[in-house]
Amino acid sequence: MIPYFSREDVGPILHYLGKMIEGIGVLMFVPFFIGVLNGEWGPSIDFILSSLFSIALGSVFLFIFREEKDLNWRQGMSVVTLCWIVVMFLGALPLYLSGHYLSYLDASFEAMSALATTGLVVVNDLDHMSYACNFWRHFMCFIGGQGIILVALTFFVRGGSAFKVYVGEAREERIMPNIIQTARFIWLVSLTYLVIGSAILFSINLWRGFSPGRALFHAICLFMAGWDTAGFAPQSQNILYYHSYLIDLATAMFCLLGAVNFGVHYAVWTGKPRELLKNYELKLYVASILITFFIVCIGFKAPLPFPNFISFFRESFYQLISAHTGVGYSNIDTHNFSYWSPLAILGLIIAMGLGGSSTSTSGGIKILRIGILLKGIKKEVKIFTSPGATVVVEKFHHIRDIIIEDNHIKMAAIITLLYIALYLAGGMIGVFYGYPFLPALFESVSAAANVGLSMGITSPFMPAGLKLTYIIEMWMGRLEFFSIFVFFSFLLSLKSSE
Amino acid sequence: MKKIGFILIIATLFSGTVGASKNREQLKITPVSTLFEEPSLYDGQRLTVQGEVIGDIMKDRETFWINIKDGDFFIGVVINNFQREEIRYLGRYGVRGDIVKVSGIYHLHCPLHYGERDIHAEQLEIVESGYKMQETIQRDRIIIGLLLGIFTIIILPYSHRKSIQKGTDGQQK
Repeated sequence: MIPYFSREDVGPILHYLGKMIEGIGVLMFVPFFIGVLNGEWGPSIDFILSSLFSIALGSVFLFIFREEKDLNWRQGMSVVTLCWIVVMFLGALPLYLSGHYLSYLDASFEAMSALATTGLVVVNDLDHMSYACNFWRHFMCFIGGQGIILVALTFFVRGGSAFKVYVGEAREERIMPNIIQTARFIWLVSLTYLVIGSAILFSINLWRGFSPGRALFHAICLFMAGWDTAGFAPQSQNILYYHSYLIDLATAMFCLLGAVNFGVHYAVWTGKPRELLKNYELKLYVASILITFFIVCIGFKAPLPFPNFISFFRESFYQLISAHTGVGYSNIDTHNFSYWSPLAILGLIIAMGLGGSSTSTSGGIKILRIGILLKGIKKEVKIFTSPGATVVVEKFHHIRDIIIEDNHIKMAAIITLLYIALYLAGGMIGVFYGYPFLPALFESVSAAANVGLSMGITSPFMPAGLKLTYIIEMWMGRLEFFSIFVFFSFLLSLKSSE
Repeated sequence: MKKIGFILIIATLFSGTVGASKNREQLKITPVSTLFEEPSLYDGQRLTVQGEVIGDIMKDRETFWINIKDGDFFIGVVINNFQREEIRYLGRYGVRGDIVKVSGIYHLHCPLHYGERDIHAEQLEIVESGYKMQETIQRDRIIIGLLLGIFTIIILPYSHRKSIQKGTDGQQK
């Protein structure tokens, strides 16, 4: 029997929520200092104001809901679900104050897009945005990509509550025996790559004539958004702004790294590089990239609208990698999709829908689940074709050897079905607002799988209802449904107990 | 003799008119949006666009890239070193970039630049010089910030102190 929520659950949930709110307020000091360093006094005031508001609000929560005790599963899930919504509203505050957004809804859309590492944008005149505000957009990608909860786990949450909130944020694997150690390892990997990746991008930018300050700013922003598979860029044109195949190459590499399971990173870091060759999910990922690229290729009918093969490869393969890793970087204008055939676009939609690896920063169904489903089908076929008493065992290697159980298949099937339902629902709402089916489906999958590629529907001028739809899709897609379902059951049980 | 002189003057004026109209034709400004809405119509054509130079000037072998913003549309322009020196202001936070008029060849998929959509500039003219903008600081935000600061200073230590005390009690129960 599913235990009901009671009013006693409210206190611990809001207590931990207060801690998270305070945390986000503290993080706003980073863009504040960037603003001060650059002499951007207006944006600096906006950030200190937003920061103080968040800290004050968090303190009020902690003051009213003083009881601190270990969370149970349903409380942990509810904290995560609420936390993402509240952080979205608070993260949107400095964005809205910057004057680059038409409404608070737009600022919230951008904040959720950053936190959920989607990368869809509704900003106005990004090219004249302050460094502080622009950095905040990318920093939110980093916070969200690592996991808001992961950030909190490292600093605030103790004891038995840790694993409950960690799982609530769509991460199931303990890379290390202790969940706090796992959180710290994820930070270590990310910060190491941040230094290396930013150094590479910084060198390219400097060589191309950027001033050192701007070279560093662009490098850090691009890396944070690439590694965390968000796909934001400091300029409106995204990657196209740089007109550089070196930047294309470097960002594509970071996208791929970000979409690899942290467990695989851990194995390689601890001297087990053979995991790269043995890992079932990684092998399947490579196969999936090749298959979807094949679909995109055959989608382009002769004569190709490109002067040579390199041009074709640069445009098609970059968009595919961007789609499949869930990054959403683009080195073309959205209008270029006008000469992509429906089949080529379908190839991208499939790639976006499948997503990257589990326990990585990318979204979508995730390759491991597809792998489990394939193994499940194989197992069922074997059962049908084997003599009655035969025990059929299917296993795969993912960090360790795993025997497929019915529970694995059931969970993978449920999540896959939920994603497909979410993709279709968003697509149908897009059609309801008058957009053609394929672009509407493309945009919906892009939002729900936290990708960020756009065929042009997403803009400050799209209907408010559609903005709200995509916010919900980004939120549900990032948290992978269950913590949200638990939270809604909490709300319903509160109502029924009145 | 007078007749010849009259004919020469008419011919000169006429040729001037033709030249001017030819020049006008060449300098007719094409909105950047049309290059995206009807891309193949302009592919390989000589045209003129106008817009604000934003961001950075980026080196690419012997040439440089700039990005021009015309409304909500952007186009990459390849310029040479002399043209680069003309540009003084780049559009950023607090800076309105130079408004430039660029004449050159438009490519939907440039064979020299790995298929990029670009314009190879032949002429670049500063139509309107950029400038630094005055930052406006809203006084009401400073006041709200101060009030929030005072409130936070008061409540922050108190809420945390209470939290620990109550938490210990809770565990003992």
